[in-house]
Amino acid sequence: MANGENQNPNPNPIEATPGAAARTITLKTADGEIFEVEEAVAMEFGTVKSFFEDDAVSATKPMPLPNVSGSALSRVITYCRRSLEIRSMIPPATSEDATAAEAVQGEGDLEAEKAAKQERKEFEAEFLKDESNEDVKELILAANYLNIKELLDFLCRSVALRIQNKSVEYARKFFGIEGDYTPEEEAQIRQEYAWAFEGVDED
Amino acid sequence: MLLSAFTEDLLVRVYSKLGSDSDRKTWRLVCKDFLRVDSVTRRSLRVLRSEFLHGLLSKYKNLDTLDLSVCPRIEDATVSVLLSQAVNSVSWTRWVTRLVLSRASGLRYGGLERLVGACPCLKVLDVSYCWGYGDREAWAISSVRGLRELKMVKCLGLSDVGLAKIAVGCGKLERLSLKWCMEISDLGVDLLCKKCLELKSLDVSYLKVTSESLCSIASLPKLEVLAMVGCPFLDDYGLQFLEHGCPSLQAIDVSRCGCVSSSGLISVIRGHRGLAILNAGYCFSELSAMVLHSLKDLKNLNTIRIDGAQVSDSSFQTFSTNCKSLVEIGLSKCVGVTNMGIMQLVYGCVGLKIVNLTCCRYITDEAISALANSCRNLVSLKLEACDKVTEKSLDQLGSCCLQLEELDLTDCCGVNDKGLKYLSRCSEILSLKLGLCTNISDKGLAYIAHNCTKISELDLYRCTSLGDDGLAALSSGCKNLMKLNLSYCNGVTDRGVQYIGRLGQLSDLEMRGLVNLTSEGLTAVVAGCKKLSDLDLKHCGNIDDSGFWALSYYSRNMRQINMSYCAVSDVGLCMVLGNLTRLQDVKLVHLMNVTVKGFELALRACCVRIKKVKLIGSLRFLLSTEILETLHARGCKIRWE
Repeated sequence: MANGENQNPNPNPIEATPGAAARTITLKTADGEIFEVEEAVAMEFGTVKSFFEDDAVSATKPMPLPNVSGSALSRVITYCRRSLEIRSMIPPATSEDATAAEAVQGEGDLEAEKAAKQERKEFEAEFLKDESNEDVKELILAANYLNIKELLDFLCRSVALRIQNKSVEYARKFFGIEGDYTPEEEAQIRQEYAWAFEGVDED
Repeated sequence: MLLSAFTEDLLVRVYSKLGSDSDRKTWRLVCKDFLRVDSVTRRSLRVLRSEFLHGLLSKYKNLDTLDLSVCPRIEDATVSVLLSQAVNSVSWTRWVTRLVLSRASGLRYGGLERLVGACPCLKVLDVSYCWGYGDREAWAISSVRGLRELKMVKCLGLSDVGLAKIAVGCGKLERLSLKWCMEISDLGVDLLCKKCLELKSLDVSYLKVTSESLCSIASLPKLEVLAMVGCPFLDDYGLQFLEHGCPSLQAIDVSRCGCVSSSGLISVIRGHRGLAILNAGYCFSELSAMVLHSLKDLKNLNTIRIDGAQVSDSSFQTFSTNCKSLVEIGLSKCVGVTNMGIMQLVYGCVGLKIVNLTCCRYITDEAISALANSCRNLVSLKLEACDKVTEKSLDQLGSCCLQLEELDLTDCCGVNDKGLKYLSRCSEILSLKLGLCTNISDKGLAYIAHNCTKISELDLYRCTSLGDDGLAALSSGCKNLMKLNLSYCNGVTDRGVQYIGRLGQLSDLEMRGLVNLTSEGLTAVVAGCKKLSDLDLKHCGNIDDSGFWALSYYSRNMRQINMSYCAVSDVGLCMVLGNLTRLQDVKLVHLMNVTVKGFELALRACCVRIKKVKLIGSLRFLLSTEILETLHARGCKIRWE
């Protein structure tokens, strides 16, 4: 996966459709890398969307992203691009007063939805396969800053999975935290919570 | 440079995705910030032990649900402690909307009144099985103006007066259960229906209500769910009122109402084309053709239960043509269920997910294979006592019904190891009952153990060909097992039982009649199964004090235990009843080595928290009146064998 460079910003260059202006938005990361991103993808970033909605700012000036590194942004763009593709697999929902014919087509929609779900599952599994814990953390911070709900949700789920059934020490190392309990406090918490209650949290 | 630390809201997001209690426990121990995330995020609390209650409630300020139904020693005095938080700081009661107090029989109206009075947002209250509750408690409940949902199952003291108070005070009530509140009559129901017009769900099962009540109930404009199980005076005349009433009715249950017949059902069906759930088990003997034909008008019908009725092949033909959207069908103990009938049924009703064919003895592999082939989404199948079912059926199920989660093959002697091998392909199975299947051995069980790893409930009652090796396989494969029944599996010895200690999630274990089991085996189980809360050791005559010592030391979560016919003595009994502070229900019949003095001491040690005791009849005259009175005063029920 080539990182964006000044000369060739996009890992996946867009095919320009004749007649249609493929608007791109320029983003500049904290470490000075410039990315040109299709408008549709860039609008997935809540931060970018509100930046361009608030002012009629010219789209040619690069938008600064001081809290995001080039490598993180590159991964984020890949995710959002793929996510848009998968979403476009599902045809728009039929209206409420669908006729019988449309209801039958609805079944085809169900199939498409199922296929899309499967694609998403596979893509998500592949996406974080080789990422280290540090990289995942960086992605979360980037997704949070850029305000991309879907990606953030997915990443938080992945973190929860990564610390599943692991020890307290592992969790501390993952988040880069030092434990701050005194031995007595820790013993009290263990005792209190060990036999105190069952969590009946409903999702 | 870049932000390197997670903000609290990010931590809250990650925390909310954690899947298990043990992960949340680990989280709390990471550091104080993480502990705070847990405190802030936790919405519901189900407390097991009263000694930690105060500490826990001072930490959790955002609760919306508090469940004290399994916490011993909830009394009026406890409430004072719970509500004694600092006046300035926000108390845990601030946002509580759901309060579960079922079986908290030690709590009386004073405590109840203060507790519900302290929760301004209270919407849902459950005081089921507080069998001493009556009109005074109803008075306290009626002060909760915003109450939407109330469960008062088996509150035996509740009368029409109390119900009236609730009806007047809680006008916004949407869901109400008065099941087993035997004192309620038509009068109470009438007033309820006049005052609580928002009612969506009403349960008057087992009450002595008549058609007068149905006349009142029919006027409820928003009623969707009506349960009237076992109402002895309910008849067709009453059901006629329903025909023109309750316009929103979606689900009705008239099981076990002896005076209801087909014509009553037809009235209900005629008036409610939107009916989705129809439950009419054990009320009449013959399902008339007219009822079946009227079903074709019910386009939304997804569940029908006609347990115990007489059916014929043509009945199933009708189902097949008229009820294609059926998802659940209950035919338990129905007369006249044949292969042909089932095959016709599944030909039309391909969406079936839940099928109950208990005691349909004439069903063979032919029918089950057809069922499996047609209904690929099958989730639950009950075939108890269908003894003609063999491995051929299980082969079909294992090939076609991979979503299967629940399967009951109790008393199906045609099930053998080969069948279990085929069945093991259903890897989603959660509950499997193989009681009285004497033809299965360790080999068969091993297949299940290796492939059905999600299984949480397994019943092997009287599977006499099972032995220790089967348990070894179980312990390595089925880590999610929570409920296990090995009663009378005589081939099991200490060696096998020791493997059970590896099942960390086990909470419910039944081991009746395991005569080869000694203290050594029991010790291994209780040391390993930390979550064990229900244990049945009846007739395990070779377990003596040393096993019970271990039990009293390790099994902190034990809530219910049956020690009848065990070789425990005074000391062992005292240790168990004295040390296990969560123990609430004990069966102590025929303890030959325990003296009367031993019983006295042991009962005295636990009288504060014990709720149910079963003792041998002769003790009634030998125990001191003092101890019997103390137990009664504390709300404990004693059963004499």
